[in-house]
Amino acid sequence: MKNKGHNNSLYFKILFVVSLAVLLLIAALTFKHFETINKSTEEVMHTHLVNLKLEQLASTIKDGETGVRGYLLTDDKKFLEPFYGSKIKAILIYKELEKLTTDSNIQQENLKEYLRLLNLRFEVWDNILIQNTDINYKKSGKFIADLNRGRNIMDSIRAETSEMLYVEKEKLKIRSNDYKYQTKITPVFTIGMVFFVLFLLIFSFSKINNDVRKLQLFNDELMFSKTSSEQAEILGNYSSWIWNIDTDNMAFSNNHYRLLGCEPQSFEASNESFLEFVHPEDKKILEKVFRLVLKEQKLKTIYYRIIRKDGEIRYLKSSGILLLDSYKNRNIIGNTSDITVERITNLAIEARNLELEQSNNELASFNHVASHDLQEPLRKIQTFISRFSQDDKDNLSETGKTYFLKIEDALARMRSLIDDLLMFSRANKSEKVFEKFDLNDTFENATQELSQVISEKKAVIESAVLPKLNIIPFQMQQLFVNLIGNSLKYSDPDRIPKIYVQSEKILAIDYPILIKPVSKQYYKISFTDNGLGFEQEYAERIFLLFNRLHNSKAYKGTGIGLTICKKIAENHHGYISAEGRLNEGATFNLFLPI
Amino acid sequence: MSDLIHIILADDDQDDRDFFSDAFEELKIKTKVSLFNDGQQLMNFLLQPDCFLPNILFLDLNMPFKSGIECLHEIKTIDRLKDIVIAIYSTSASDEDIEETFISGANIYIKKPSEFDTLKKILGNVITTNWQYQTSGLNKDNFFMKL
Repeated sequence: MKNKGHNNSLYFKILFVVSLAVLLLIAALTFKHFETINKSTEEVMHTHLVNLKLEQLASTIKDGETGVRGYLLTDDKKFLEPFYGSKIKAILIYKELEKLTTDSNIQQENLKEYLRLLNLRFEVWDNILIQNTDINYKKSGKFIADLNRGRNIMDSIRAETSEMLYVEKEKLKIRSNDYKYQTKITPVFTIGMVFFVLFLLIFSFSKINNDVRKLQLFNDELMFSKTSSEQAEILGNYSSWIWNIDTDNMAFSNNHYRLLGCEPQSFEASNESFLEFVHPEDKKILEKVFRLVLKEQKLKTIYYRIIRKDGEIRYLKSSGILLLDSYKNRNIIGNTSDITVERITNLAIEARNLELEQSNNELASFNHVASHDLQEPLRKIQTFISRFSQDDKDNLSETGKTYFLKIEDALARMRSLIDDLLMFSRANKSEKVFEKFDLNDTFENATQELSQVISEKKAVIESAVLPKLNIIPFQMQQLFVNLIGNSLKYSDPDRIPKIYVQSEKILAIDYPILIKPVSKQYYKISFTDNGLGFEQEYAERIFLLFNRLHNSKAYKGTGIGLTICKKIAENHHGYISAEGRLNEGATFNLFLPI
Repeated sequence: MSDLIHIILADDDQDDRDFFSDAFEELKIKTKVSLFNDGQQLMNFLLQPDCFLPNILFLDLNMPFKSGIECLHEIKTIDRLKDIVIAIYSTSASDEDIEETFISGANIYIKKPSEFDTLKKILGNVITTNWQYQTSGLNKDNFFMKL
């Protein structure tokens, strides 16, 4: 949208320049047109003037001639006055004509000829007037000849006059043709240009109109989004502000004032007015960040406290980025968020987590210390018992012998309880070092560890190809030993125990029991046996500490083994579940993330 | 050099010291067993310049005044004592303890058994092992004594 605006303004600039150029062209053409018309008029006037002067000259000569004729007829010298006047007048008119025709060489030549004829004419008259003093002259043939000569010269003058008039006429013809052409072409061109400009103006107007309409729509959108963001600010307890670094002008959104506990726009927005609300101990944080703004081209996220108008302390978080406006001024566009509630909640959670961690640690170390320290007296009792010689035992009564056996049984059970407890505490606390390990090796090691029981029970234990995974090897081995050992322990005495271990890749979403999966894919490793099994309703309970489904007389269990398995599965970010079919067998599924 | 094998045990528990010396008595190996009640007593003895040095030193870990680990560290810093074969002899067999004593230079880690016969068997094995050859092949896998 921004780019489009720029293009439009460039477009209008071009249109404006073109219109201006066309208008200037029209003005120039019109000026030239008027000039041409003016010139043509002047030419016409000039021609008419030349014509007029030629006529005047001719008539002056005629006046002279009339005067001379009158005198010759009457011999009254009164008739000669116009003749003398005409000579001077003719010279004056001639001079004027000479001036008027300076632009034309032909006319100048013609005028020279005219002048020669004129002088000749007056010469003839002067000659006649001089000879007239002789009375015989009028009767002589010479008088007639002189008159004839004068008449011939007069004819030549007339011819010269009409020659000159013709030249002027021709000139006038060319000029009037020019003039006609000009007056015909110029208006058409001018009107064409005017229409072109008119078209440009109408086009521009419709464009501008369109843009104005679009601008109105943008304005509406802006207004809506401003209202919407104002609502969002109130709901989300945050605010926005703009800081023009170059002019040091600031603007706060309405909610910014509300965050400070003030009425919207109730004071002038500025860094100083804002800093007045900042907790004295946190002022330095803000001042430092303000100084770094130019260098870092942004306002990095800061956390600080403010004291509201009503004295309440709130926790705020601010950040911003640098943007240039149309005038190349640098602006920080910032947001501030009230994080008091989150902070208080976080502090409470942190405190609770710390407490939990402490009590967990205490529990773990209690478990460890208890089982560790219990080992010592137990071991001593067992060692002392073991030092009874066979002879000593033989000397006991039958009841004594039974008690002795019962003591040994109880001790063995206590030993396994303490060992398991110790193992459980270790699964809880030992360092979790993961490494890529082949589960096939884990299976081999586990069956090796159980080899005595396996051969005693003649059990068949098989495994499909298992994957290589990132595991804590000794813990995983413990888990295998516990699961297989568990199956062996609760095998059906009437059947050969069969245990089958297999694995498959599964998708976490297909197994709702995987709450909050850490990976999309898991390996499901299942241990299936044909032992005593259990009712499905107990499937969850068997993983609880000290929880056993069978009475302790028949089966030697501590109720810790499966709890350790669960703990180990959790250490691997995995999950373990059980499926039981009473008197048919059980399947334990171990889910490990890939 | 006499044929007697000199053995020292430092253990604060009277019963354990008794089991230990009884076991050697029954083993019928020519041994001279010296017993110390805690780490401090042991070190006082070893630090005498003219004392006899044991062939094998059994160290309990949890002892008052000076623990087995402290004794181990101290012994390994003294030239005259650092070659003594040291067997850790403890009730617990936690991974951390095994790791730390192995790194500190102990030769073997024995978890106190709960059967007297087992105890005899273990001690017999340890005594008859030729540690001079064994030390060169020391590794973490056979550090923890299994029977």
